[in-house]
Amino acid sequence: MKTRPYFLLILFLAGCSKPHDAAPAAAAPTSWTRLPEQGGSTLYEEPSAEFTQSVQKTLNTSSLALEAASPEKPSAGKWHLGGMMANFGFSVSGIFGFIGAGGTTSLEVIWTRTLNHPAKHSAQALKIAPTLTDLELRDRLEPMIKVAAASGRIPDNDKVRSELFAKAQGFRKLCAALARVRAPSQFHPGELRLEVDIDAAGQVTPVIAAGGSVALRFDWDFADSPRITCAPQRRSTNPSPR
Amino acid sequence: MNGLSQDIAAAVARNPSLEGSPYVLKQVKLSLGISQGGNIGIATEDASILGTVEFDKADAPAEKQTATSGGNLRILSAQKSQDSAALTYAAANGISHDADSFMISHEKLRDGLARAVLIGDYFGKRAKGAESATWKIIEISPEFDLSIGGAMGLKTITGTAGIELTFGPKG
Repeated sequence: MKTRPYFLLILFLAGCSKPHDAAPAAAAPTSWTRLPEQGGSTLYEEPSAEFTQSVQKTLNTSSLALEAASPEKPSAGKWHLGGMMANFGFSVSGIFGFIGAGGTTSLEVIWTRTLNHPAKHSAQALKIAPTLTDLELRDRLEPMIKVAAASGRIPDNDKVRSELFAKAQGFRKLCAALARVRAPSQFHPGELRLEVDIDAAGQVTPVIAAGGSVALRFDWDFADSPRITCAPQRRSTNPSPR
Repeated sequence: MNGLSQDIAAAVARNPSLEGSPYVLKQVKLSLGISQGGNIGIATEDASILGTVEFDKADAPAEKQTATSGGNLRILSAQKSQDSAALTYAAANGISHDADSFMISHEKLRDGLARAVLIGDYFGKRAKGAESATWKIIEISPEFDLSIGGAMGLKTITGTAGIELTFGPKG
């Protein structure tokens, strides 16, 4: 099959919209962003017309910007914009807008050009059997640590090994527990994943939001026989390859 | 895990108004951990997360989701287990807890999920309205914090780990 080259634009913009400049009425209902123990309600509240207008305008603006940025028909063999991922957030007062670096994503949106195939990411994965002994698990992790260390952004030391091994052990324990249950329902567990960040000091932490350091990933696919996969990846902008 | 699958399906079935929505719930992603006592629970703090599980929607038609799973669901939150405001809220709402977890009924989680699905559906409708001549939104994923009582609120700059719902175009 002949494929066209394309690229995916991942957008983390500060200043495309200025949430704090918007009128207070454009805020989301308080209960949308505040938990009950923080004083929020558990009932569904309809947002104001002003809020809806601000959300629609933000999304429309992005679509129109994409339209303006892309040629009418991509030239064969040339790189062209095929998709965009944008992250939006809420300010403390509930105002919706693009998030800047360091902000917390509340809403991730992916656009694709209807002329293209959907843009996808993939990461190479190394399969690790769930029955691995601790020694074997360490051996399998070692190449990943070397690859990550080769980026020059994390140290290659005992602390990294020790912390990463502990996370891998915990993940393996969770896999073992989940392997005992199966869920016949319209929604079925498809994959168990853990992404960890390793910072310059060798600290290993689970990844929840986008970071700027190097990450490793553990996967376990429920559809296959229990297994763990592990893939190194650079965490520059995209938190979760698809 | 069986209970969680059923809770998600039940939360969707609880909102008949979603029938005509342009975007439908395709996936629910949540973080899991293991309590000090060795029980699996939903992890709400980064330090307790051992993995993130994805529940994918099957192509099969929706089932009747009326039965409620028995037993309680464990929400891991070591910090809130020491927080006086959270403990006061738990006492006032009959939520039992131990050193690192709060126990809620599946019914409460279904209530929380049902409301989160409505919030996601709201953004799905706006996504449909944002289509242009050659661009469309193929995925919209709101992320939520999970209350110790099962309710969910959109993540803000003060948010922690939680639950992500992914909506895609119907069909």
